[in-house]
Amino acid sequence: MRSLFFVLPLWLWMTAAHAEQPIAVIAHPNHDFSGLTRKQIADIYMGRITTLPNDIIPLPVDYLGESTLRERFYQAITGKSMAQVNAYWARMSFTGKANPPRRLADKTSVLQTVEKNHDVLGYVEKEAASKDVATLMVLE
Amino acid sequence: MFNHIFFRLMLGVCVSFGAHAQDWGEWNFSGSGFFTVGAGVMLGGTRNTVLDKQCPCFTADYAQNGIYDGRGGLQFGPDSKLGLQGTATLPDERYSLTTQVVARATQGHHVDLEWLYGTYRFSDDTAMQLGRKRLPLFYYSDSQDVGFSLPWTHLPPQLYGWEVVNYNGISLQHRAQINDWDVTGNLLAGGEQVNDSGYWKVYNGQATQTKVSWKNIVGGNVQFGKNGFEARLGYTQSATQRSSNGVWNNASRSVVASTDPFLNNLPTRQRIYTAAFNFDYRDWGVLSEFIYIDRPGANFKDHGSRLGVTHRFDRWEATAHVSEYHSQAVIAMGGDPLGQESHINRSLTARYFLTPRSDIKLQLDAQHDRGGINWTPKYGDARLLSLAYDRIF
Repeated sequence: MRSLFFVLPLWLWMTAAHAEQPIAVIAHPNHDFSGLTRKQIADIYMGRITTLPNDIIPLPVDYLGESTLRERFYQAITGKSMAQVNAYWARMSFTGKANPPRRLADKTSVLQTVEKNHDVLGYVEKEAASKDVATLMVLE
Repeated sequence: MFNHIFFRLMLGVCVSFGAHAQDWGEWNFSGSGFFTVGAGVMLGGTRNTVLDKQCPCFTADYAQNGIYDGRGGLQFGPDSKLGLQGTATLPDERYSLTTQVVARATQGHHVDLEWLYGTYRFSDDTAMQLGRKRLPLFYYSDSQDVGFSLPWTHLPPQLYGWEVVNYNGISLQHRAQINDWDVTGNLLAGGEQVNDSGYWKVYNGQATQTKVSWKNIVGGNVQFGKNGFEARLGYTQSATQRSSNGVWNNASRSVVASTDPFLNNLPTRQRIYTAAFNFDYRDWGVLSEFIYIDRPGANFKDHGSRLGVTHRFDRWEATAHVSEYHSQAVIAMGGDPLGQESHINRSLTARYFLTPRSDIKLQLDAQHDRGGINWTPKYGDARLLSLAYDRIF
């Protein structure tokens, strides 16, 4: 019974440490994406929007490989699993209808690309968003 | 033999290395691919000799002559395929060149060139493509070989079975957002010639050879979607002509001359109307599609439809689906109401996503032949259990 006093706090600490961080959708500090809705972000990342009403051509960036962050991001904006999103892209990209977002190696590359380009959209865990980028939306 | 070795080599190379992109000078090259390992076993149906096949028979892919027949045990041919795609983007990114080759087990792993086209982008929303492409008759036509993009182990043959699936020509695409609707339009023109049609082997026998020509193909489709609803309307017309060395006669065990004028170079025209309506809400989806073909001067018209429901939960996806085809006699042109083709297929599919880029599917098909008493070849009923492993890379 006494061991519970050790195990329980440890389990609570581990759970808290691994709680899922909110995701920040980020852009250049001087961006032109004001008022972007969650649906528009989904449409941009799914290749359904290539030009915004203000004539800006958004350039979404994504991550190479599969990760929990990617899975959570697409689940939050599209309501679909990563596999279902990939099945969608299999239909679009193998037929030349649209190309998926450019994929970068890691969050450092995403942050650097967003910092340097006005029309790039990216996403990182909220705590990773630096002061050199603007947060457009937080996905819980 | 070469193709068999090529198939295995490419499968190994592709699975090992996955999708790849490379900058070479100012050119950018990207490569990707897909494969399906499919297996099926006939559970039952009408036992009969049809043409040169021992049935029960289930035609999974008319265009490629992919038939599960009455042999016992697992059959790997009809749904297995490997595709490789490469795109080269020029320094001026408005120009690119795309090619896709597919090797199919049903054709002894023979490698077919399915796509070879150049793209010029007028803008991010408008592009012109010139070369060899899929003929986009149906909702899934463009990706019909990419098993991972489909909810089934094979496309519903009642709609997707056609004699021509590619064309050489030009297409113009435009995409727009109109009042929150995502709208895509596509216009195309071109032609296609198939020298040894797999489709006609299904109807006339494996030993026959039929040349099919679709000339002056002109068509277009418009797709619009909003809040999970999606509709696609299409129209295609062409001149058609076929020449065949005959049909299989089982009594004489030989190919004999056909009396069908449409297999003996009689030209005709066709107008193909298609419509698809899909609705996606939370974990549920409704899939439907329709086709109607009118051939002025011919003695029958084609009707096909399909309707299905999909439910997704966790890594699973379950689909229940019904597809139906029937030809309609044009009595004024001498059509025989009792000599028309008709069949319906009911399927249940369970899909499990192994990884975000691979899945495994188990599908039960139950096909019922409703053809008229004068209709031949009468394949009869068939029950098929098929399993597919799909992967994209």
